[in-house]
Amino acid sequence: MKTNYTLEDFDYDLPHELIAQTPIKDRDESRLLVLDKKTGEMQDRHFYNIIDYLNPGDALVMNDSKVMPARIYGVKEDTGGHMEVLLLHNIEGDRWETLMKPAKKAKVGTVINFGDGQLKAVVTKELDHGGREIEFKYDGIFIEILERLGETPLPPYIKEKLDDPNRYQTVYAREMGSAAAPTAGLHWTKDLLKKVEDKGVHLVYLTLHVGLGTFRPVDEENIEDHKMHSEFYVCQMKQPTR
Amino acid sequence: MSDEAADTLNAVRDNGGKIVATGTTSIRTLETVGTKFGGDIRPDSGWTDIFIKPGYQWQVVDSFITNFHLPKSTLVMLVASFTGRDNILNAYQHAIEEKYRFFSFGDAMYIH
Repeated sequence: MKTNYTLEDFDYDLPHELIAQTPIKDRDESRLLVLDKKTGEMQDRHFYNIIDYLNPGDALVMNDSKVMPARIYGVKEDTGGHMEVLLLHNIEGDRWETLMKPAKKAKVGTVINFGDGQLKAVVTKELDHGGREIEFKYDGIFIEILERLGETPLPPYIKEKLDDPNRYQTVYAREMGSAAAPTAGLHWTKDLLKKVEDKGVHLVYLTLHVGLGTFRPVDEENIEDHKMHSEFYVCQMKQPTR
Repeated sequence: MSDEAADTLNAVRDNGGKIVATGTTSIRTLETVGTKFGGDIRPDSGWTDIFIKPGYQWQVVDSFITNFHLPKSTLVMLVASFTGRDNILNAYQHAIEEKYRFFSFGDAMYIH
């Protein structure tokens, strides 16, 4: 197989109107294009037909990472100026790598107040990529506070507002930590998974938190030069169904 | 519990069953682990920056579900490494003609 590809080899023209702006009503009513990699043959099906391709004794693996409400809006404690904070990843404890807007107003030592003092953050470091390291202060459980105050950022190519935030989570999402949804899993319903399991397919869950770098385009003309961002995975594979 | 599930995946393979991944994140996790342990599947955790592109030798995943990905993205390259470049670009062309919906809230593919 040819291995020395350039970026242009993976380009295609997509009519803008084919970018789905909103989810369809029923998750498993999506269409399913089935491709045989050996022959290149295709079949046009629907997602609920996936069960026809799964046999007793197969394993179906899913990522149970849950999307974080990673965007929070606060005010600077000294001036009352507005500040938007996007959580990129948890460094350790209450320390987070973030992107802030307007960044130039976020100097080391700046204190930001979210939700009338339910949550505070102090800027501790300016980072090379223009982001800020911050440390949160709060009473209670961080994730619960974040779920009250934060909103879930959608990918940049989605311009329409999402009515039901749960529709950007899989039905089996459990481990909070992704900046974007593991989207193939959005098609599964609890009913369909039950049918698959009843057919004798083993359901296996693992966790990989999707980083925002997943949207970073490949800039290098020779794809061999592209360096992937790192993402945290837990392959502890909780098998039993919930 | 974790051992039990890793055992399940290994047993599925030993008995001739296939491992079907939902999405590129499941693929990247399974292949990271498979590459690390010489094809074996074991409970594990850590950071991965695996970039699956044409030429990559698949270790674990037999077939998968995935949505349609952005032009020139690493995820198109991942899929191409499984199907061959021409097969996947033909499939995307078919999907465009048939007006499939693309990206995060779009339709899916099953590739086997």
